[in-house]
Amino acid sequence: MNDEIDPKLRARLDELKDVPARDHHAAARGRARFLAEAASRLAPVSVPVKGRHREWKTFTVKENFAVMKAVIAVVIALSLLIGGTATVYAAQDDLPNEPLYGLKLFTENARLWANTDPGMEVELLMQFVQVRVQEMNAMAMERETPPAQVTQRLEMHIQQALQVAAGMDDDAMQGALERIRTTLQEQERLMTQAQAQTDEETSQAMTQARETIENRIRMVDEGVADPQGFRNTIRTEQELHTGWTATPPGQQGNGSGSGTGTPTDTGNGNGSGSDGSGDGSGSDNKPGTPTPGAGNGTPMTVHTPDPHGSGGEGGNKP
Amino acid sequence: MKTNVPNEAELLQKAKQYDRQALAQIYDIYSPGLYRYALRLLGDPSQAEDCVSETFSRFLKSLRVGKGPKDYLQAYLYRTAHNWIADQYRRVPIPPEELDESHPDENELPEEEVGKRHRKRQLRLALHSLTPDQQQVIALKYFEEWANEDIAQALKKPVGAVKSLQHRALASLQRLLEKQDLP
Repeated sequence: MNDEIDPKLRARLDELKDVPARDHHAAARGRARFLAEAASRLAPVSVPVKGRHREWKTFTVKENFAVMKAVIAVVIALSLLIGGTATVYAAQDDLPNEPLYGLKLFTENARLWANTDPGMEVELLMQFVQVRVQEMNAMAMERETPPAQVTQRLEMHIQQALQVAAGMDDDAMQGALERIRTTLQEQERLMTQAQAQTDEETSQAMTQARETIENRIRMVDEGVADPQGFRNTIRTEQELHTGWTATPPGQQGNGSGSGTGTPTDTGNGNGSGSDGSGDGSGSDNKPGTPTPGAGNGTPMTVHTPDPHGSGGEGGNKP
Repeated sequence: MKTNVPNEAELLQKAKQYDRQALAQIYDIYSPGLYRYALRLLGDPSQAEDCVSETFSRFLKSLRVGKGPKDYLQAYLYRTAHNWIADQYRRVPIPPEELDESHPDENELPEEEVGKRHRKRQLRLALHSLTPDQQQVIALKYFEEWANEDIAQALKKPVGAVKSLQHRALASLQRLLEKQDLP
């Protein structure tokens, strides 16, 4: 037996050899999916901390890390002492119009704060995106318009996740962007379903959130195809936001926060949390910790400062 | 032609330790060839992407449970891809070729393009009438231009068995195509 083949048959087989070029975007998506699956399926792979985006973190220096952890531990312990585990647990189902909602946000903030791994940070933020959408959908089902803070917080979670992703190396970034895209697509779909069953006023409020999500999905698509371009876009956005919030310390008015708060700080909010109003007049740009009951407002660095906000911008003190 | 990766064993070792860089490198090295391989046999770009995706997913699963290839990674990946393709054809028959608006050669008349696609489809149908091993021998030998020794690794069979498969596959294929060409 040998390798000889009838020339006609050979010519026929050769017809299949010539295939069109692979679609660049489909290939990039496939690669990102594989790396995301690798990250989730396999044992944790260390992600280089170097180069990670730290804009949102108030404690950025390694030397402060132990202090930060200690502060968080004390705050969490105090909150549990005051509120009790059961209360914290019960708060997780609360909607923005319910009393324990501030505590729910506080526990989210604490989880973000205590985390140090960029991959896990994106994962947490995507979980919070799902929670915000669930809240909006639940309220929409009850014909109640979700408060603006929920939409703002949703935007902030997505923005922060994109920033964290932009700080990763190429491979990790592709995986993170794929995770973000999957979450956003699914949440957009769920919102569309809920929106179809609600009244017009509520529907309008949800449209804004959906548009934000759609906009961010497009950004993620671009990031998958052009990682460096994505990083540049994120950097430009950050610079813009930094410009908005670079008010000198001590000059803040009543509503907006200081420029270096983190999303785990309390928001610019309307202030009242589970156990009182946010106390923060602090705008001293110093590192802070999450404060229970400091309101459900949005953090300060992501969006345009809200001139109508009042008080509650605290949490900038350690 | 089989991709020559001098550090394949090293890459595989690192992949087993869940090294992200190694996994990315493995994907970058092998996915283009796997895609072409799948596209030749399936004729549909989105199915070919699915095939690549599923092949690498199965690779990850096997690593996760401590299995996966001990060596000959490329052979393992092509074997996995081919199994997926064979399963696919058991589930879904080959769809008719449709002429989309962007036919590749602008100098070619649409009817010529249709004829060419029809011939490709007939060839794929004939290929899929072969046994899975015969199909894989033909695909690796004549599309990918692998040496018999490499095909033997992919099929986990001796070289002599590969030659025998190839001989029978070509004879069957010739017969099938002649039958198709009859009026």
